[in-house]
Amino acid sequence: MLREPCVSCGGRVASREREAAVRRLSLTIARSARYPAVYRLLDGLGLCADCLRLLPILGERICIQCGRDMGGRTPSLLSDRQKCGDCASVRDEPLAGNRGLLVYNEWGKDMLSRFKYRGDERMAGLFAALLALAFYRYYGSIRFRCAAAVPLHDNRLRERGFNQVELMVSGLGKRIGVEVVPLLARTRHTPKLSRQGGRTARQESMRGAFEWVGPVSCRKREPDIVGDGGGSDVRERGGTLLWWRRIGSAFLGRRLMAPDAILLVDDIYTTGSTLRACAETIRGQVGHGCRVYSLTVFR
Amino acid sequence: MREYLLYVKVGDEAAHVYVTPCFAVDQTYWRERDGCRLHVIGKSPSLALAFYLRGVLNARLQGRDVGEEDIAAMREWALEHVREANALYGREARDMQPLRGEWFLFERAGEDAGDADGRQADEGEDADAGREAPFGPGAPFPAGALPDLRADSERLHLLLQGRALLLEELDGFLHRRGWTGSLRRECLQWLVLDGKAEWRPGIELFVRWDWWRRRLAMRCGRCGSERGIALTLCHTCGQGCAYCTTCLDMGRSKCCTPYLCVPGKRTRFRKDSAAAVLQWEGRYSPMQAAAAERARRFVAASKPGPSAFLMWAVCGAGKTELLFPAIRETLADGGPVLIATPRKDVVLELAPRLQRVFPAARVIAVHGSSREKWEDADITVATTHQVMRYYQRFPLVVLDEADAFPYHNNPVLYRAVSRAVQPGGKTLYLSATPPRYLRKRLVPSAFRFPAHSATHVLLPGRYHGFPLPVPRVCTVAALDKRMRQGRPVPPLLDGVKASLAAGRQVFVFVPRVEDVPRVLQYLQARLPDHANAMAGVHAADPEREQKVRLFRDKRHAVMVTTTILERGVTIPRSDVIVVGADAPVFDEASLVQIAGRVGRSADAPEGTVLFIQSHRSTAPYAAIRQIRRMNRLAERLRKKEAPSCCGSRV
Ligand SMILES: [Zn+2]
Ligand SMILES: [Zn+2]
Repeated sequence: MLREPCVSCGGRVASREREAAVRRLSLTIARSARYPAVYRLLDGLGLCADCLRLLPILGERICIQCGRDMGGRTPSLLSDRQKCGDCASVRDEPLAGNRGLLVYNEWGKDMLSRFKYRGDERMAGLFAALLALAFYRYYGSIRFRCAAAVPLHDNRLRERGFNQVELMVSGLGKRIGVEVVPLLARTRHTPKLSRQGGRTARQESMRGAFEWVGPVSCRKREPDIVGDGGGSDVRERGGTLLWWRRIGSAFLGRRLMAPDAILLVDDIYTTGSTLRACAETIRGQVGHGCRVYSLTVFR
Repeated sequence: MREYLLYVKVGDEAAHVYVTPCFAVDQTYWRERDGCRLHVIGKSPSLALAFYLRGVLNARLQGRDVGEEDIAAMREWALEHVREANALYGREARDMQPLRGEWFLFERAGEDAGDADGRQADEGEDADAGREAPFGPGAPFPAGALPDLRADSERLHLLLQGRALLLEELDGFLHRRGWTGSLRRECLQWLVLDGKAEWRPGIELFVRWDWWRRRLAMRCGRCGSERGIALTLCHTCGQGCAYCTTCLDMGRSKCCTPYLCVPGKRTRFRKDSAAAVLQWEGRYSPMQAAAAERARRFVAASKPGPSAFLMWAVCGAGKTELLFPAIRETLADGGPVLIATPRKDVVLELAPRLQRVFPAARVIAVHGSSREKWEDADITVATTHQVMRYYQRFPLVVLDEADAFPYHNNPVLYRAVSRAVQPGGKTLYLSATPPRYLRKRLVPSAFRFPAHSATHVLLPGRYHGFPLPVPRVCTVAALDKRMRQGRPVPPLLDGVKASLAAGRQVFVFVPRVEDVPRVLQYLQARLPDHANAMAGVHAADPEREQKVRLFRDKRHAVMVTTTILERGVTIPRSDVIVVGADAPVFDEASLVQIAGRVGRSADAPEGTVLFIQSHRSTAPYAAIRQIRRMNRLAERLRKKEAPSCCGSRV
């Protein structure tokens, strides 16, 4: 597997320095029991030692809402010190929280455009692994009912041929043992984000852009849990989960199970308006007790 | 969702199966030709499947007479093949689920329509159209629009000549060229039927015997590679689909993307072509003049002459200038010229240079982000990838640095180049270190190194007439370990010190990217006085261009680099040291190229080249042998050809 050249720079992957780089990164991302899983993910990442070292991982100090790196920024003084200015100003936040793994810099731009626009679907594995790393870093303790991708509009999908987020999320699901269920469809063809005006305009244009296509009985019925996972540990996790859920639904009923949490996945969080609109749609359907967390590769 | 219709044409000539995206055009086209009838076989949303079926059905027909009863049999065959393709694709795509129930959908034309199905009928046809279920011929093209269709096809043909494009690129191309016609698809189909254009799916499907069982094989219709084709769950066609990863940089070539090839005009003689004015002040050395004349004669030779020619000129022989007469010759014949080179920087440098010497010609630089990409020109200077977008366009293609990456062991680009040449056109290979198979093909006797033949010319001397600097080899045991421990490596340090003391710049070549910072740190630690004047660069370095510019401006005195600077960058007064010359990346050709960096300018023709190895290996010595041999040949030629003017230098 590591015979392949580095996904990013085309250099040699296997090298002496690489192991050290993987170890160092693993420690940054996970200091807990997740270490082996994180190490394995990083080791299989297909990046050479140099590119691993250059990964723009978000720092320790982040906004507790949107996951933005607050390294040099003074938190907004007006409100909650742990939220960034943008998040502090949002009322009725439908998202329970967002987390990303990497800062969106030139490297990220290049990698994402290679995947998204040039259509190199082989990159899906890399992004899925990055998402899994973010998952283990921030969401490892939350038990998600299912994961869903932010959908593309049908026209865009037909034009591009694939939904990059869907490919990422199916890889993620296998890696972390969470079932992937398509929940949403995009009903409106919104213009490209960059071409739109301000934040509020973007928010407005997103309203009602998504529609529920998930299982009708999603509120009442437990969705069937993962078939097969990626690695053995994942399968085991899925197995025990399944077992617990069976016990749960048989004896205790849905209400007493772990609170509903749904994982929403996108490639990048820019202003969050897309993810917020998705979360609103989901909560409108499943109920407001449902917490929607979002996970993105870039923040 | 596009749909492709498969029909068989039965008439005076042998029966033949066709694929069409707009059957109405085909009906109209064939109606004009008497005595043929069309029978629909079926339709499919999968372009690759339709072409696969066309292939197998045509092979089974083999020019046989087709009666009415055979049509039903052909529909049966088609279904069989579809079933097989479905099963085989399913086996390849084990972890995917088809989007629309089956990997390949195919709708067979209904039997009930019987022999009336698709028949090229007379006046009563429109009345019949209604009952021809499930999809009869439909309405043929409205007769009123026919003149438009013809005229637009003609215009489209003129625009597209000599190009090979994916249908998705076509939009951008036509937009840029100011095309306004509305019947794009119909016009294209008209051209295809007329034999003026060819089309096929971006990825073609085949079924082959693989030892004991049948296997689905796929080939990229654009780059021709069969490896590196990845299956994809495609939402564009919703069918079994795949894309090519080999030529991905040029846009996705997919099973469902039509790929259009329009051959260029064969002859376009305008003998008085104004573009062929050469304004060049320079002068050739006698050796150069002879070589340039041979290249010109090769180009000027009439058709049954050789179609390929190798100009084997050492580094610094002045290859570009040698091309001028050959280019002029082709331009005078009215033909456009393509110069393909592996590097974008060379393209950017070469185009203005050619424009200066051919002031009346239109010269364009074509690379990935070039604005002139879609224009027509007399002289096109393109990166090798872009050559894929031309089809039988150029009577002369010059392949610069024929040995360089990405040609090296890359059949894809050789194929692209051979497709860009017109049938009967010429290809001129330029190289300082031609690869073996090229030498085998074009140099009559590979051992005696004849100076010229009908298919090659050897230019062993530099334009300034001085010999090539001959490298020295030093063996330093455990070189890697020494450097890692910071112990002195005298040949390296002395070499760098000597060059710096003489006010010369130094290239230090290393085998791997990770060696760049290591060697750089080592040199900086060992030569602290010059630490600020040192830099390292590798292919993926974001500051690469800036660093190279600083090196050119003499702001850096030492440049530690991987083989990326092995060609292209020329620094007047510079020396070369190769650290780890025994590494496999440094083969004979690469070392000859590296040594060729030195002593290229006429006012500083000398310089030192040092190969440092930790084990004795063959490549450095082979490179030295080759350089010595060239020097000897140059000496001999100089004596033989110009005994009286051995001092003549440009
Ligand atoms: Zn290809
Ligand atoms: Zn497709």
